Amino acid sequence: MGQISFSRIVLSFLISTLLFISIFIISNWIIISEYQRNTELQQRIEQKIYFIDSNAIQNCTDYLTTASIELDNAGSILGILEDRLGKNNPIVISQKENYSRLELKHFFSIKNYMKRCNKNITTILFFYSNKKEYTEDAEIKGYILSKIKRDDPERIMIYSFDYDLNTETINILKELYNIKKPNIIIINEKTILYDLKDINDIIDYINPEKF
Amino acid sequence: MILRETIIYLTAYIGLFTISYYALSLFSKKSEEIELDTKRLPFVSIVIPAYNEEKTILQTIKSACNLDYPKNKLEIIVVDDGSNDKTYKIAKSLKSDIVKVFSKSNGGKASALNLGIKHARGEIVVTMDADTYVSSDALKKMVKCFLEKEVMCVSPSPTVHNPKGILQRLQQVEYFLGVFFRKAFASMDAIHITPGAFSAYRKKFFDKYGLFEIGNLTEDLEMALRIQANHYKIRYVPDAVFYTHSPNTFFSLLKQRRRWYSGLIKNLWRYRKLFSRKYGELGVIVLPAALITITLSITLTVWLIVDSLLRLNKEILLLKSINFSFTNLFNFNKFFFERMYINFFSHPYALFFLLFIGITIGYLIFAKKNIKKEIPVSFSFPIYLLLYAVLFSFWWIISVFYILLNKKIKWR
Repeated sequence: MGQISFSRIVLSFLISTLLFISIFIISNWIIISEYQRNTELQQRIEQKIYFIDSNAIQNCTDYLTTASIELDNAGSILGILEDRLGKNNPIVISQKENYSRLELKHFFSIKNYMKRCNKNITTILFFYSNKKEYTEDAEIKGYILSKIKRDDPERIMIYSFDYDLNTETINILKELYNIKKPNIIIINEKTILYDLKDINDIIDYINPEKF
Repeated sequence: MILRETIIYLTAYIGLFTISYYALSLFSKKSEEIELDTKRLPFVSIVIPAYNEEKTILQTIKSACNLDYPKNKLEIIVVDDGSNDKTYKIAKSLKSDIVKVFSKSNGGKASALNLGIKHARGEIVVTMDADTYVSSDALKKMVKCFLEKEVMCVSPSPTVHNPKGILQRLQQVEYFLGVFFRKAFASMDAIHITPGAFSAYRKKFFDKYGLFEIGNLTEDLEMALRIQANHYKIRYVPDAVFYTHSPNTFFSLLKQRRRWYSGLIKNLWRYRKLFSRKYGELGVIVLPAALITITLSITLTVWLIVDSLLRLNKEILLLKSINFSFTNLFNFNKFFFERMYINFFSHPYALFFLLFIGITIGYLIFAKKNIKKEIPVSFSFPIYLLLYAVLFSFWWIISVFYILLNKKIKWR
């Protein structure tokens, strides 16, 4: 019978522990890279909005729509960070605060841009919640909104806000639009949608002919 | 969620530990090339039990006759176990001085093997299935191991004969992956499974400890455990290769695995005394690790399947919500892939999965080096990765179900 080798057991523990820890280090390294990438992306978007707002670019080229796509990408990465690190993680909360602020800035810039350049753009504010009881509904709504954004990225602007995030930006918005419960969609600051289960439920509201 | 993560990480950690231990055992033991004088080669009796094997029996006997082994030191004993077809007639038709054919009423593989062993003159007895073909140099390579007096059994490397279809290719990869484990177990004197299709035994062991157990679902496994229980050794010769017909339908494969796994559970329970320090690495590392990893990986696979089905249901709901149609499939996939890319690579589960794929590729490279033959698995390997865990769990669940309900499992 092969005798149990104590040194081999110790060495195996060391190798397996090293490999095990390495996996988590690599995974964390990827997450941190994503966090840095997202921070840089948000800074870029902020600069872009700043230039537009400070009349550095006064012509009617669609810089804001490009910024909107970048904003969506930042939101998507933020979603993954939230999934990996948890919604109470300080990194996630600080990025979310910044992201909400950026969204709001972009939203107001778009409103100016629409007036200035006579553009017909549909704005959608979505106050989602990640709380267990609201997740399924929020996912369906988010999925439908992503689809309509993908279909018409230059004319549809979607701004998603975490209803449960206790920040000045979110609180101002909640007060401004009288939002009392999560998973509410506001289209062009006029139409409020509480229930959305199918893309057909929203398609009429975002159709330019209807407005 | 916490329980699922615990199971995943525990499985990964135990997996990494056992693989490290096996690799260290394997590489710490240098294999010595044994030279054996042809004059000192022992007399070998090859026993071929056959039941309704008219399609393959002739080729099997010819394969045994073509072994590179002195013909004056070789006999082939074919035992027809009451076949209903022409097995006996075909075996008898082969005119050779070294081939003897016996016939008996049907009593199962073990009874046919035992009759053959009783008639065997050889110091070494090789058991060979009637649908198995062996490479000509295999026997000489295997016999060398018997120079060590404590060695009671020598096993070669099984491969699938002419693999066709998904299931046979999957089994082919499984057999190749087994090379690493068999060699590692051999380095720890912990081989506890020997292939019934082709294995060599020292006849003295049968004389002292009895013949194959009639009625045992896996008589070859029982014999291997019996050898271990009596503190003898089992050796493994990776470059001695034999080819066997493997099941090619889902149900025939399920039947085979149900018998194997139920036999394994029953025989391990019977030889539970092996789980002790007295039996060294076999009792403390190999057998417990096998049981733990099998249990954890089955739990995990079942969990993942159920979870995936629930997710699928959710995905379908989501797809329905956007009136998904296949005309925009490309856009949909592009979006999905972008999201999945970051999702996948930032997750420890995915990184563990990649690590284990890498280790599995390492096993295949190891097998190629040791078998000293080309292993054409470039097509089969992705199939293996996709299907094996699911099938493996399914076979085990069915086997455990049969054992728990005390259902009768037939050999055939």
